[in-house]
Amino acid sequence: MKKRTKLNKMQLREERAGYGFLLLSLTGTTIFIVIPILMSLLLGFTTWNPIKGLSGLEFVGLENFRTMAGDERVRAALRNNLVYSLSYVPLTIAIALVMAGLLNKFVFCKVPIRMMTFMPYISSLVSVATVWMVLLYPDNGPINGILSHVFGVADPPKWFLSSKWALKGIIMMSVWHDVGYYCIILLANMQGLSREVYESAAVDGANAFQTFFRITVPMLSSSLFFCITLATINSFKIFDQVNIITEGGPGFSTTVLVQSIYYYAFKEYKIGYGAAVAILLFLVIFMFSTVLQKLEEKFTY
Amino acid sequence: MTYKNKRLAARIVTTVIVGAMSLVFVFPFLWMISTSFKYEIDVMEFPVRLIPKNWNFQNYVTVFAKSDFPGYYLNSIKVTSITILGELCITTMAAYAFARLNFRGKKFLLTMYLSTMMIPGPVLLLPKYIYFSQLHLTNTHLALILPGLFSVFGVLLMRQVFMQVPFEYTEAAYIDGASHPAIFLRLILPLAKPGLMTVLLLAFTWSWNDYINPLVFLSSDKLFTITVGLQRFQEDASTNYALIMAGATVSLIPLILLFLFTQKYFIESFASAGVKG
Repeated sequence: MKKRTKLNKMQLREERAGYGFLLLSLTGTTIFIVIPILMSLLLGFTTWNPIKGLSGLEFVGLENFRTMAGDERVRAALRNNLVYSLSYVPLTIAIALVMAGLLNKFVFCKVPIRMMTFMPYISSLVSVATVWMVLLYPDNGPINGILSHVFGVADPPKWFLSSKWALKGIIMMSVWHDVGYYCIILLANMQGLSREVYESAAVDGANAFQTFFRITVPMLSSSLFFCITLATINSFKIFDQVNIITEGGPGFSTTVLVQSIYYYAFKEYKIGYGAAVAILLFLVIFMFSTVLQKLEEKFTY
Repeated sequence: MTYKNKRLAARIVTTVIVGAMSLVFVFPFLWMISTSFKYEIDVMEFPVRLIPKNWNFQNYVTVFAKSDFPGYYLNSIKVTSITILGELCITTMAAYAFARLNFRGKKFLLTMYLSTMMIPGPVLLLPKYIYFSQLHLTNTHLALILPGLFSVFGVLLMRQVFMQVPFEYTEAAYIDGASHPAIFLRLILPLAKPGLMTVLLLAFTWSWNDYINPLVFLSSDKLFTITVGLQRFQEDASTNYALIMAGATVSLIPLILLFLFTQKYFIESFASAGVKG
């Protein structure tokens, strides 16, 4: 009996229903996601100025990538992206882990506290970036006011106006925005850990620190890796806060890859070159997630 | 001190520590709201006052009566509601097919869906721009709505939810002669309400807060959504920080209110979803 051709009536009905239910989503996903992915790959090897229409499209081979190697904006963007991710991810996850650890155990008012830490995450980056821009205003802004009057800092940072401090300000703001999110993921996973291990640790006389670092953290390792991977991937897509607060400046001190894509494609109308930077972005993210996956296989409990 | 008292003391101390930490998270919001009620001259005063010395309601009058904010609001409401309702229909239907039906090519298609999740969103921006500029759809709301309807992430999330409904339920209905659309509408969807709520809240938040797509696809003020609108408003207000804070407050109100009333759902949704598409 040939299985393929001889579906019975019921299976046939199911198959038709399956395609029917999938039709809209599949069409849209193909048009708006699958084909664009393939197009992006091709576009990276072309130059195209959209003002000239489709006739302006020209294949140039690897030229975009060669130009990129000497492009100061892209090099600065890559460097800033790495600095950003390597400071944002550890800071965010460490703070989230500590807060989740504290919230998991001995705290009153858990619900309001959890709510307060989560509030930044649901707020649009555009709105909160606008607020932070004023909060960190160098001349007598509230944070510098506190720094100089309360902590006696003689020469508080110029934050977004200084090329030395601008990226640090962006990192600070982003950590503030996202900590609550990773905190609730870790907290949800902590609450799922078995009680027995904690009880036996308590019987053995382990203190709170020992319990946290020797039991909670190792048992959480797979959700920690999940959070680290997620935070890393998302950190490379940073754009909103940079474009609102500094537009990449001063100089190239806060330029990032997505902002460079936006700049080249929509300010200079070099769509092909922008697409090449997008391919670079994908490769960087792909590399980091592969490495993290390898590490996870090696280290998780 | 007895053991019990010691534990209570520890608990109070950690509450104070965590409470102080969480104040850091709300301080910018409190400062934003209080500044929006200040006169410009009081904005940068020190010590920082969270309750204004002189109350000024003029900033809100400017935001609502003399700026384009009401229009930005309407645009955001329009784009977001059409997007999330459409997305909900399309993704749940696809999720039903993937979770409950057998058809040839299912494995391949599911793998295709999963692998598109690896591609960072900004990579899709330029091809979408080419589409819409060729179709003369740039500077229309359709350019935001159309791609927003097809969320691979939503499909995969709903698939997980639908797979948890026991198969005995639907088999019995099927043998009784119920059609697949009937099973989907009458059995699966009502049983999956919490999951639907999750998809709705996530879709709402992402659509409402979306910045890069309106920035790229919209060029006329009249069509601006809240995010790009706030940016324009801020550029126009230049250094009038009290006014800018009123704008920022107004832009945040809908989501914050929704969050305050549904915070349990909200937090659980984001905790369960884990990924941003």
